[in-house]
Amino acid sequence: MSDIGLSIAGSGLAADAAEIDTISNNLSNIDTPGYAAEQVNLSPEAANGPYGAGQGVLIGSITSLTDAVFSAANVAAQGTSSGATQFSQMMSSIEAIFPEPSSNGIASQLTSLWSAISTLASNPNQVGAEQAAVSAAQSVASSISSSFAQLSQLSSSLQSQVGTGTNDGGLLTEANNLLGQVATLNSGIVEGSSGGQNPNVLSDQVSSDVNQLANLLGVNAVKQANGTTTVLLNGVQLVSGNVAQSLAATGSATTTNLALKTSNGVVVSAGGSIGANLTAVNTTIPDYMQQLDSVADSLATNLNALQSSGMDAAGDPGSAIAGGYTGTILPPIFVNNGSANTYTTGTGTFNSAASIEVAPALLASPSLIATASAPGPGNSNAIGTATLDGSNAQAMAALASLSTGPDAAYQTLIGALGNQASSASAYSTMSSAQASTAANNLSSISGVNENNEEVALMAAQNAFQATSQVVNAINASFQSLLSAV
Amino acid sequence: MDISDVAFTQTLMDQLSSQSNGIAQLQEQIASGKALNQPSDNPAAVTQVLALSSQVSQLASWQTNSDTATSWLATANSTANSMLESLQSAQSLLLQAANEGAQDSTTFQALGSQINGIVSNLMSLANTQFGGRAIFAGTSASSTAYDATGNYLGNADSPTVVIGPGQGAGQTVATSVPGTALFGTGAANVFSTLSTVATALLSGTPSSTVISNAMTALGSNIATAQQASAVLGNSSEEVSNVTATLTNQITSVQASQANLEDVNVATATTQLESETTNYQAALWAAAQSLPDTLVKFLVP
Repeated sequence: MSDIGLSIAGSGLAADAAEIDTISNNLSNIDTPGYAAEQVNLSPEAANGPYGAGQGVLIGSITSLTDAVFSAANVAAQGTSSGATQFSQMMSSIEAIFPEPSSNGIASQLTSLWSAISTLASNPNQVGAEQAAVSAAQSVASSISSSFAQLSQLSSSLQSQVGTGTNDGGLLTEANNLLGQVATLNSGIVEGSSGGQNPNVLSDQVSSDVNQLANLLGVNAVKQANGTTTVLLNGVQLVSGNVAQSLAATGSATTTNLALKTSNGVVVSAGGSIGANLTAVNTTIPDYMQQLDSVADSLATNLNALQSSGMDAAGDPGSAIAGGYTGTILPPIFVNNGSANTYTTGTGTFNSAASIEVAPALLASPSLIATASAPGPGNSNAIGTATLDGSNAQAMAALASLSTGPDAAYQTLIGALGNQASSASAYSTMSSAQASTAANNLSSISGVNENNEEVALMAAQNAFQATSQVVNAINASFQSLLSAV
Repeated sequence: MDISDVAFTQTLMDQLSSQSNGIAQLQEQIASGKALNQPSDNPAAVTQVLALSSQVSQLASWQTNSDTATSWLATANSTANSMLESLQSAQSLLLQAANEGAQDSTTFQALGSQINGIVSNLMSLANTQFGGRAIFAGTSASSTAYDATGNYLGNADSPTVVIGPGQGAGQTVATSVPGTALFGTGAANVFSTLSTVATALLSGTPSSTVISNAMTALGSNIATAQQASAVLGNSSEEVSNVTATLTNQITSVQASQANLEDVNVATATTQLESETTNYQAALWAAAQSLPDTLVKFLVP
């Protein structure tokens, strides 16, 4: 026994204190995002000479419990899940624009139109029936254009949610700030390690940032040998060491595609919630806008064709006739907003659904609807002669069951919307289950388990007490030795 | 594998929230009475429901039209029957005139004024209106079918309504016949036949040729009217057949729509019951297990 015994006991007490501190730190950070549980790595100190006892314990290091594979899988799964959830929510917003099946959707307004026209066919010169048919046409047109306006409203709010990347409070700005933070933390890790400091806290912050970046962009993260983290987006380096790229929005949803560009000028596609928004504004919403155009076009072209080939109850023709006609030539039923007589179908960047409306002249005089067929074989109608023939209106009402008619086009739209929304929701459920699994897997390694910490705490406490007892024993021995002298 | 405390609570929260989603969906279904509240609830069924409700509305339009046709045809049929009765009484008056031989002029004049009475009766029958339209004026916009002198003002087209599916506008049925089909055409119409013979009778000295010519003409007028009456009868029968079919179709289409769209309350409530039980069990389990860590047993 020598006074070396006291220093051995001292090293034990220090080790136990380090254990207790670490446990205490772990328990404090049990809910901290990105925190990986830490453990104290101890090693025995070798004995002096062949017959000496060991010289106590050495605190090697305090390391974070992480696993590169699980943590990469977790980052990927969080990105996928966040994108899928965002997309599914966006699909629900589109569904809310088309409330079907219900009594106030476009489908039921179309059926009201056909039954109003059918009533008109039986009562061709009744003012009430004419008014009802024209009003029904007006409600369909305004529902189509207001649904379109809501789609474009949704698109612009998704775009402003993404933002341009220049301090506008958008998701891109948030992502750029996080990228900058990771670069700063990376340089801190390098400096700290070389200065002998523990980089665990900085690493934990990086992993919290990377998780947020995964939610926003669907990034991957690779831990380098020097402790820094490289952030990649579809193979493009966004953060490498202490250098961060910033992202900016480029292009436009209406003309080209809205995309992301790094400060190096590389165009990169994104996942996560930003990627989901970009897909929605570039592909999904324009697709439903086009389908809505088809509904409007089918409605307008079919009804306008019958209108222009018929004549109204007063005998006015639907289109100019050879030899001229001194009376009124009937207006079309539907026109583009701002035009008196023309309806253009949707092509390219022109969306007919946005501007469909009932011709102002027809709104002003509903009697100008072509209920009668033009003079021809099988009827004794004559231009300029009043008639109660309702056969043209009958043909209009029959558009209800036309396989290429507006009802069919609208049903196709709703079918496509329902399928896409339900598969988006299923995918979102599945990917969030996968994300939970990935998070649990990582957490089984990095997470703090209270029970385990308690057990370790008990052990450390017992060891501390036992070592204290050794100090006591050495002290007592010295006291008795001193009093004996 | 160690389950960290964060993972443990997260899993628990995920499960509770997925269960409460299920409960919310069932509650929405039961409250609205509809199993389909948005397109994604069942895309195929929603599209089918839209098609079915458009079909119901079309069937309902046809039903309205067939009701209109029934009313028109009932009016036209009863008018045609009254007209035939009038023609038959005119025929018996003419027979009487022919059999009288060389009678005194007052008898002929009495017969003549009776026939004139029949003519004005026929005139009012010919101008019968339904819903403000002269039913025997064809598709013409004229408010009367015949003027006071018996000239036809309408046209030769029959008014029609659509009562079912078919080529073009669909299955059309004539709701009436043009006046000419019932009352005869031009100089051979009933008004001209009867007016001519009435004038002769009123003179007191009708020639037997005029009477016998009138009898022949009236005979062919009756034949024409009977033919038109048969056409009206056929139309009525067609409409009444279609009406019965339409009613059945509407009922069955509405039933299939309801099958797809309406929630089965018994099933939904049972499901809700079981989801709620599961949810409560999960809550109970959470309440039991969450507070339990080693600390509870270590610290007295």
